[in-house]
This record gives sequence, C-alpha cells and structure tokens, in this order.
Amino acid sequence: MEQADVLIIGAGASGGVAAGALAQAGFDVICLEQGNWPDRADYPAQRGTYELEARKQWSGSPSVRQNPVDYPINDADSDVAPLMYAGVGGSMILYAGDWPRLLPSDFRVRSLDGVADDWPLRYADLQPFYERTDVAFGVSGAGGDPAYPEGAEPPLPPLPIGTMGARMAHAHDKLGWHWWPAAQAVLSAPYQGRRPCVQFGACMQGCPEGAKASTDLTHWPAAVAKGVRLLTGARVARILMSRGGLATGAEFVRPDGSWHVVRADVVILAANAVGTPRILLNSASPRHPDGLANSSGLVGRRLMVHPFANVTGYFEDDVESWRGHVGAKITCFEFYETDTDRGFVRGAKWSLAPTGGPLNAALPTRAGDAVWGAAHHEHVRRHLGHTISWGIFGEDLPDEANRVTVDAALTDSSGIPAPKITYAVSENSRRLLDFHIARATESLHTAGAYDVATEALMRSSGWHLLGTARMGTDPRTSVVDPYGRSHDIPNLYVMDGSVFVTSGGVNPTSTITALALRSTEHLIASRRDQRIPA
Amino acid sequence: MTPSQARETTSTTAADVPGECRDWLRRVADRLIPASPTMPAAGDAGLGDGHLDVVLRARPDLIRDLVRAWASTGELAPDESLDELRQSDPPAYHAVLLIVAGGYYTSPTVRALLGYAGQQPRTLQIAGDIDMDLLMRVVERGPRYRQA
Ligand SMILES: Cc1cc2nc3c(=O)[nH]c(=O)nc-3n(C[C@H](O)[C@H](O)[C@H](O)COP(=O)(O)OP(=O)(O)OC[C@H]3O[C@@H](n4cnc5c(N)ncnc54)[C@H](O)[C@@H]3O)c2cc1C
Ligand code: SF4
Repeated sequence: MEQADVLIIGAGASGGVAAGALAQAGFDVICLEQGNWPDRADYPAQRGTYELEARKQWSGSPSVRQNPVDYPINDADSDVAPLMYAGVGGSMILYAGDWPRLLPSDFRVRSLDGVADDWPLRYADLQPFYERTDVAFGVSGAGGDPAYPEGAEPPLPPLPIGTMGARMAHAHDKLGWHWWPAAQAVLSAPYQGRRPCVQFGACMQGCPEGAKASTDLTHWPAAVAKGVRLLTGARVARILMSRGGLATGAEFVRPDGSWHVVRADVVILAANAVGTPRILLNSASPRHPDGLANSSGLVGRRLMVHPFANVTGYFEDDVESWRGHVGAKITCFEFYETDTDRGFVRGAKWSLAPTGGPLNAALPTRAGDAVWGAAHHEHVRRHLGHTISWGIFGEDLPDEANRVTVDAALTDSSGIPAPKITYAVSENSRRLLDFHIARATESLHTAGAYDVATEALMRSSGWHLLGTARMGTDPRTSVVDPYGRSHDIPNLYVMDGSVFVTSGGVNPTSTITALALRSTEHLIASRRDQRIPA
Repeated sequence: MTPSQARETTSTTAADVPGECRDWLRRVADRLIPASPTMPAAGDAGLGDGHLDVVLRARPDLIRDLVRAWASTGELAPDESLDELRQSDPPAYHAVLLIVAGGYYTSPTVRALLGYAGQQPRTLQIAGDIDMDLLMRVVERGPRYRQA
C-alpha cells in the first residue's frame, strides 16, 4: 500500500500548485489523477480537421467527448452544461488562458451591496499570491490597468490585440469606456524554457506550442523531479476515515479495474467544484450519512458557473477575427461595479474574442444561425473574418438550490456514482446579462458594426465551476476555513474552485491558483500543529 | 486513452460506407452547399476525391448516423431526404450537415478560395499594435474599481 505525508486528489490547476509548493518544502506527496499526461503531439490545432475534432474528441464537454477517463454528468436539470478536462493540467489543457483577477469589491459583496456573503479575506491578502502565480504561470499583459489597484506588472508584455482589438479600443475611446489589453496566461515571449504563442487560434483544444500555461508544463515537471509521485489513471472513489474523525487516505481504481488504497497524513481535494463534492458525497457512511465535511449541509450547494452571453458584431471589412489567441484580446470593466439604478446588483467583465474558422461560420456555436442552400456562401462570407464577439461573464450570486448531488442511476466507467447538476439562472443574472448585452451592442455599433447578433445565454458555457465547498470562519455556514481546511475534518483540505464564496464576474483560474498557493503555504507553515491519524 | 486512440478504436470505419451512400451524400451535399459564381458545390469540393474519408477518419462517430440517414431516406429526392431527416431523425440530420460542412471547409481548395489561413503559426509582434495614446486616455479617466 502506498503511503505519503500528503495525498492530492486531482492534478489540475489547484492540484499542480499545491504539489509544487509541498514538493519545494520537502513533503512526501502522492497525487491521484483519473486522466493521463496530455500528449502535445496529439493536439489537433494544426490538423486540417481541427474544427471537426473540436466538436467531439476535443470538446470541453465530458458528455460530448465520452472518453472513459471522464466521468459523465447528468445536467438535464441545469441551464448551463458543465465543461472540464481530465488529465495532468486538468481543465487548463482546454482553457482559453484568460487570466483576470477578482476585484477588491468581489470579496465584499455583503458589505457593499447587501447580497450573498463577504469572503474571509480581502484583495490585499491575495495580491502577493496573484503576483507570484503570475510569475509561475508566465502571464502576459500591461501594467497600470485602472480597473485594479496598483501592483506588480505582469512578467511579460501584452499579446497583440489584432485588428479587432484595435477597432474596439477606438470605439471605447469614443464612448469614454474602459478597455485594456487582456492579461493572458499565454507567453508573448520565450519564458522559462517555454516557447511563445504563434497565434494558432486553437487554444481551447490544447496549445501545441506549450505557450498557454497549464500545470502539466508549469508545475508538474518540477514537482515530479522533486519526488512527488503522480499516479495517472487513478480514479478516487472515496476518502477513508479513522474512527477518530480524521482522513486516512483514499480508495481508488485503475483502468484495469483493480482497486487500491493509499494512506496519507493529510488529504487535499483538488478535483474541481463538481469532482470534489462528488467525492465528499460519495464518501458517505453510517458514521457520516451526509457525506464528509458536511455538518453545514453546504457540500455541493451554492454552485456558481458564470452565466455567459455572447454579442457578435458584423463588419463590412475584414477584421481577421479567426486569428490569434482565443482567451481575450482586450477586456472591458466599464460596467463591472454595482449601480442599483440598473435594476440588478453586481456586474460583468467583457472579453473580446476571435470568432473562429469557416466551420464555425457555417455552423455557428456562438451568435448566428446556420444557413443552407443558395444563401450559404453569403452567410459564411458575412461571418468568417468579419465578426467580432464580446463574451460577457456575469457575476453569479450563490443560491443553495444550485447544486451538485450524486445521481441515483448514472455511474462512470468504473461504476462510481456520477454527479448530477441542478442549476437555474437567477432573475438578477438575467437582468444583468440583458443590460450588458445592450451595452455591448452599443459598443459594436460604435465600432462600425452594421448588424449585431446575440446569444442571450450560451448553454455550453460551464467553464467556471465554483462554490460547492465554500470557505468561511463559521462552521455552520461554510465547509472549509479561510485556508481551505475542513471545519469538520482537520486534516482534510479543499484547494480547488469549490472554496469560492462568491463568483465575481471574471474568469476564475488566477484566483483558484493564488488561493491554492496561499492555502498550501499555510498548511506548510502550520505543519507542527497539524493533527494527523495515529 | 488519448483522443487519438479513441478515434481509432471505433468498430465502424470509413471503408464501411458503401459507394451508394457516398453518391447519395454528394447529391444531398449539393443541395446544402450549391455552387456559386466563385465557390464550388460541396459534392465536388468537400466530399469528392476521397475527402469524405478524411472527414470520417477524424470523426468516426458520425459514420453510424450517416449510414442510417442514407438507409432510411436514400430513395427520396435530395430535398425530400433532408426534410424527412430533419423531422424524423434529428441526430442523423445534424450528422449529415456536419459531414457536408466539415468536408467542405476542411477542403484545401475551399480554404484557398476563402483566403482562410487559420491555424498557421506566425511570429508574434510583441505589443507592437497597441496605441499608447488611447491606452493613456483610459488611465487618465482614473481608477474604475471600488475601494473595499
Ligand atoms: C473549455 C474551457 C475554457 C476555459 N477557459 C478559461 C479561461 O480562459 N480562464 C479561466 O480563468 N478559466 C477558464 N476555464 C476554467 C479553468 O480551466 C478552471 O477554472 C480550472 O482548471 C479549475 O481548476 P481546478 O483545480 O478547480 O480543477 P481542474 O483543473 O478541473 O482539475 C481537476 C482535476 O481533478 C481530476 N479529478 C476529478 N475527479 C477525480 C477523481 N475522482 N479521482 C482522480 N482525479 C479526479 C480531474 O481529472 C482533473 O484533472 C476554462 C475551462 C474550460 C473547460
Ligand atoms: S494561439 Fe497561442 S496559446 Fe493559443 S494555441 Fe496557438 S500558440 Fe497556443
């Protein structure tokens, strides 16, 4: 039986950061990851059939991919379909690399706006960790953005904003609205042995250059070199417990169907905000009938996913909108903060993204319909290279009815009960998105768009999975403490996006990784006080 | 299993698609994407010359739907086939659309005609295209965040 100081479950964004810090501090670490090491040579970016593969094998949806290393998710009762990836690097293998931080107000929504809850930490507490993770992942961007407090510049200069970015920057200058070159976890120059972006525009199906940061490139190689044992093809079914109420390790299954147990003094869950509550709930026993770490009843509840709208402008001239990195060319925080006159609280951040290649134009996944017959060529001509999209990430306020549970019938390929998601877009979110769609339409018309198409809620947009094991100081109203430690089980930690108290209205991974670093360093610093099983 | 392996382990292969099915698909494809003064029809550009096999090798999961679409509506005229599929078998209908459009827009001839050069590496021009005057005006408008 394998034994370690620390067991990490999940080798994605947060798992990689935790492993890196623990290895550096000399801990004996084992990590169990259900997926495999990604093979960059297999990424489809340079194959002619790229856009076809992106709709199946390289989809962000485990339900579409149907790969045995994924687990299925019942999302029939959800307005938004969850997206993720299983493998070393986790969902970062497919993420777009858009790398904004939360804003100071995001940590204080109860105090400022009277809704949801304040975080048990502030922006200033996290800022030093943001700056360190920016360096570790290799973030490109421009310092001095007035949307944020002052701080260190990103380690690399910004990526090109392209014809479309320049067009929208001029429009926002005319409107007097905020815009800024987007911070991206994509290299604009060679960095720490990694090659810069070559603008394939295929980031969401794996970056063949290794220019887009993911922990399989930025954290795992060094962690493994320092002795971390990373077991791929190792799917955790449940966490094991001592009679004294401490975690003792986990039971896992290999692809050949063999079952194993690993023992550890400390267990860290880093399986994302769907995978982590699934494991905690699947670990129920007569002694823990509601699952582990669940005395608050909040495990799996308060799921937030950032309802997403897309507004696309059509331009007469060629704006080369299939070109370049996919995350964001520029961002806009003009309408991010609450203005109660608008009829809702909180706001959204906009990301200006390319609109894809010819198959995307023919079969649009964003705004627009497919057109067949005589009008087809004109339809594709209008779309391909001539469209610009604002992606609108709206703040999603926590609601206990939005949740991850264990499905009564569905299982993964190992027979382990699979998760079910129940999620409805709230009235506040709907109003928020409608307001932002109207403003984004104004922005595109100002830039010269002759037509605008809107996707008011994109179903396949569950990229950001948050909140299902929230942090807090009160064990009655939170699952983990401000450093990710379970209130109920003092040697069990959660380090992934589950710990978010509120969602903010920005892509979350810079915050997930900064929090994981902060929590892991706290665990390391308080190692002498750590209770461990006998 | 990597995605490539997943592609290869399906039991049905492009070689299993009968010639009659291919002929039917070309006729249907010409209705969906007909020729224009500047662009060829899909039956010629996207699905001829073995290109259908390129599509189906990349997406073997579509073969079953394709063969079913042909088997159930292949006797009908192309427009009627499409109507019937849309109403009676949406998965097969969408598979046919994806194969036709996928074949067309992965065809090098079509891409050249569109002037599409995506997914090609190009050297990055670092921050060369950002208008610093515009950016400074954003800064001059002052902080946007709420102190908290
Ligand atoms: C298509 C797409 C685009 C995105 N774009 C952006 C973006 O531009 N910017 C941004 O900030 N975020 C983006 N995201 C979100 C980002 O990827 C996630 O926020 C981030 O990866 C979450 O980190 P995590 O550590 O919580 O979980 P993950 O990175 O998802 O890692 C969890 C890991 O745990 C493993 N695991 C789960 N269950 C088990 C089990 N039972 N046993 C063993 N292993 C298990 C999984 O296989 C996975 O590898 C995107 C996501 C997707 C899918
Ligand atoms: S655009 Fe850049 S980051 Fe995206 S896949 Fe291409 S090289 Fe990688």
